[in-house]
Amino acid sequence: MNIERMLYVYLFICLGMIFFYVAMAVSFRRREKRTVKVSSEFRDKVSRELENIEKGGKVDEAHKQFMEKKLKKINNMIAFDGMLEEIFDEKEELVKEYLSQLESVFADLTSYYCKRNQLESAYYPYIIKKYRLIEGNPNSSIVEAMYRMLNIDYLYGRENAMQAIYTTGDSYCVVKAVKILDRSNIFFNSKLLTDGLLNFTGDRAELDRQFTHDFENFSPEMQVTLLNYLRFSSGDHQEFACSLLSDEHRDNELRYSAIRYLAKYPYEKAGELISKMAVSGSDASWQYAAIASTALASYPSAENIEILKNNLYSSNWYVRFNSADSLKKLGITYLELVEVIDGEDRYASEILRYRMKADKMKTDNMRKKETQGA
Amino acid sequence: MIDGIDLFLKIVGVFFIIYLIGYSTFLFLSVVVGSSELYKIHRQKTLQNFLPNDYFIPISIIVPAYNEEVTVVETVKSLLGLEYKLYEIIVVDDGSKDNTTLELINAFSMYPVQKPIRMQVDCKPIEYVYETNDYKVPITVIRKENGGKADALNMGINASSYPYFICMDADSVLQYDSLRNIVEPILTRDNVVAVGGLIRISNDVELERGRVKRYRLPKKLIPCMQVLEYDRSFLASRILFDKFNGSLIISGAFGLFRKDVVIDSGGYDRETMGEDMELVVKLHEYCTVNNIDYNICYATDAICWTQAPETLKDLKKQRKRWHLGLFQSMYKHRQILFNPKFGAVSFISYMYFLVYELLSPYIEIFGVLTMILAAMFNLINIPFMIMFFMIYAVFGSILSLTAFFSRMYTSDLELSVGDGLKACLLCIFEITILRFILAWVRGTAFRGYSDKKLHWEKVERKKINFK
Repeated sequence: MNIERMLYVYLFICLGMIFFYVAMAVSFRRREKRTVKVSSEFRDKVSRELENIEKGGKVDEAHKQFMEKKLKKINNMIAFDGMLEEIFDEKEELVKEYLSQLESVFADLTSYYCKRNQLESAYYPYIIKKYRLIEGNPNSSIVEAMYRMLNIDYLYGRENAMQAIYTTGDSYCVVKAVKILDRSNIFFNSKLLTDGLLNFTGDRAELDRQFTHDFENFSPEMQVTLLNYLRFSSGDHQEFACSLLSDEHRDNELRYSAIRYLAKYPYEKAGELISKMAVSGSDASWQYAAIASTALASYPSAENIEILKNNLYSSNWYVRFNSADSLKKLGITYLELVEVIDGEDRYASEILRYRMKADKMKTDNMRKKETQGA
Repeated sequence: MIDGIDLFLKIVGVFFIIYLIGYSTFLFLSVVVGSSELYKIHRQKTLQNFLPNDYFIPISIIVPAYNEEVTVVETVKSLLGLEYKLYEIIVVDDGSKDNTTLELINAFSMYPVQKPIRMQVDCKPIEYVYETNDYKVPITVIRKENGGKADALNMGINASSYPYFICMDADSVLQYDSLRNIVEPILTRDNVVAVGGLIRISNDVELERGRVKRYRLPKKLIPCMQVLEYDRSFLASRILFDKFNGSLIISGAFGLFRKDVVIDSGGYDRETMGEDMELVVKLHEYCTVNNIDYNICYATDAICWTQAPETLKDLKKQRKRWHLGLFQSMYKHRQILFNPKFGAVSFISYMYFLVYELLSPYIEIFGVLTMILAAMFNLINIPFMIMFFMIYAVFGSILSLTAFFSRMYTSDLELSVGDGLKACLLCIFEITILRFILAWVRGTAFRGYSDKKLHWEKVERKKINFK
């Protein structure tokens, strides 16, 4: 009976898998013990080198060769990482100096790790990032390896490489890396980049300047990502954002992002354009009207308040909601809005009542907390 | 006549051989692929292949509740303890007859608001809304007319502020890191429209602030066997389906969805009992028909702890409901069947659910009747039949155990030797007895079918054992 035989084969493989689990469980335990042993060996050797550095000496060449040989094994690298983690807080400066002297070792390990499977190769930039091995050293061969890793089809490898590049503190390196990501057709979530760029520890103003200067060399999608990043980075680019907003040939997403930028950092010259956009028009432009209605909270004027009041009757839910929100932020009182609140438009009235009530509850709660605190 | 019966039995024999080859191959592949994938994920974590903790995608957590006064406050408290920054909690009280809403209002000092809600998907009208902003994240409770779980979820979608929402059960507890883990596929893969989480059984497990303080298998047999069943599903077959974007189910206890796509596809179907499965099948259909690139993923490290039925009576009720839901979902989206446009979703996922889930109770009952017929005409080889059944039982048990032990890669759950032995003993019982009881329950699920529409499942709630 063939089916019988087939089931036996399946059974045999499954039994094999259970044995494999048992073996793995034993192997995990052994590996843990081995890691402790290797960590301890590393600790002894590294401690001697740290003492040497403390006395003004250099890391011994024999030690470098030993480390290069040992760190080729991924499990030894894990043990090394664990050991460094333990002593890092206590001897931060010494460890940093020790690692900087080990730069050539890590540079030599680069080609070795780049050839390994994706999982293991992604661990390498993690170590580079964690111990900031390329901080202040943008010309290191390790940085070149990090650029190469940006093209691999494994997100964690690319993300770790990008994180490592941020630690160089060099804006040129970061811009180059972003261009590599932009040119590759591999998916890299824009949020990873927007939030990741904020981890850059170097001259942020210079980085922003390079982005705005090179802006046209990026794809429209990347331009949106960069403008979103600039919004969290600095308010020094209002004129730049205003020029993007004024250009009708630009991508819609980019212009939405420009409005958000100018909402966060109000710019007088952009006020009129944003007011025009906030006027609720055709269905096709409702996104502009909705985002601009939010932005008008940063542009107080009698005309804008009137626009926002009119928007409360808009057929679009988001335009109404955002306008009510902006009116609340502009500090418009119940009396000034009584016409709308008591008017016949239920939607406009409802939305305003809600915003006012939410605001009142928030204020009451803050007062209550202050009283309790006192 | 004997010749005719003999021919009939031969045809039936061939059918069952093909049926069993298909089923055992599927189970085998599930376990092998599941285990290797879990090992890969374990290795990834060892080698720090994961995203840093500071990427937050805004999420609305929707908790539909009906007569949940015993558990709902603790559920919301546990949600407030999640290690995530950007989310809101929306509890939708679907016209409970107990004090579900009142318990929440009192526990969290909530105040009434006239919140304008944009009705984008159909649901019953609101009675009143309470909210509070005094906690880590905003909490809203919406009291509405009774309309069923799907209706309550639709209300939650309408009221949500963020682009992604999570649906969960009011008696479930999300693990402290579950939100971070369930959003990870959105950051790592393109066009993700839904992500399913891993459901674990919380009976007799001690949880403290969303962390497992003490793990053990449930003391009672019924939930304990369900642990084996859940592991076979969540640690094996769902991983296999995920490999080819073929998941047809995301458990209603914990799933993340992209709101705009769900709204465009019509939201939860209020006429279906298995609203969780129906939504996922509908997303496949909607995205494929409209040529939208999409991914429906499964995050094995996004963990939700849920209470399993402890009595056979409750379990039977639950499984009847699931089977009816399965039927409704598959019937409603029958255009997927044998449709090349749907690719593997049609020819593997849909076929599997049709043959080995929906029709399996009837096929198994047919098999038993055939055996009786063969015995009547003395055309059955009894020793062979017993041997075959034994092989089947051992094979099924080994597969269950393989999936069960593959949990060693998933989390830091310490499994005692006693629990390991308990699992070994129970797996045979589960595969030989419980499976047949549940097959009978599923086979008879259509009795009283129309009466069950839109009713919430009545399962006795216990206080959740977490601090």
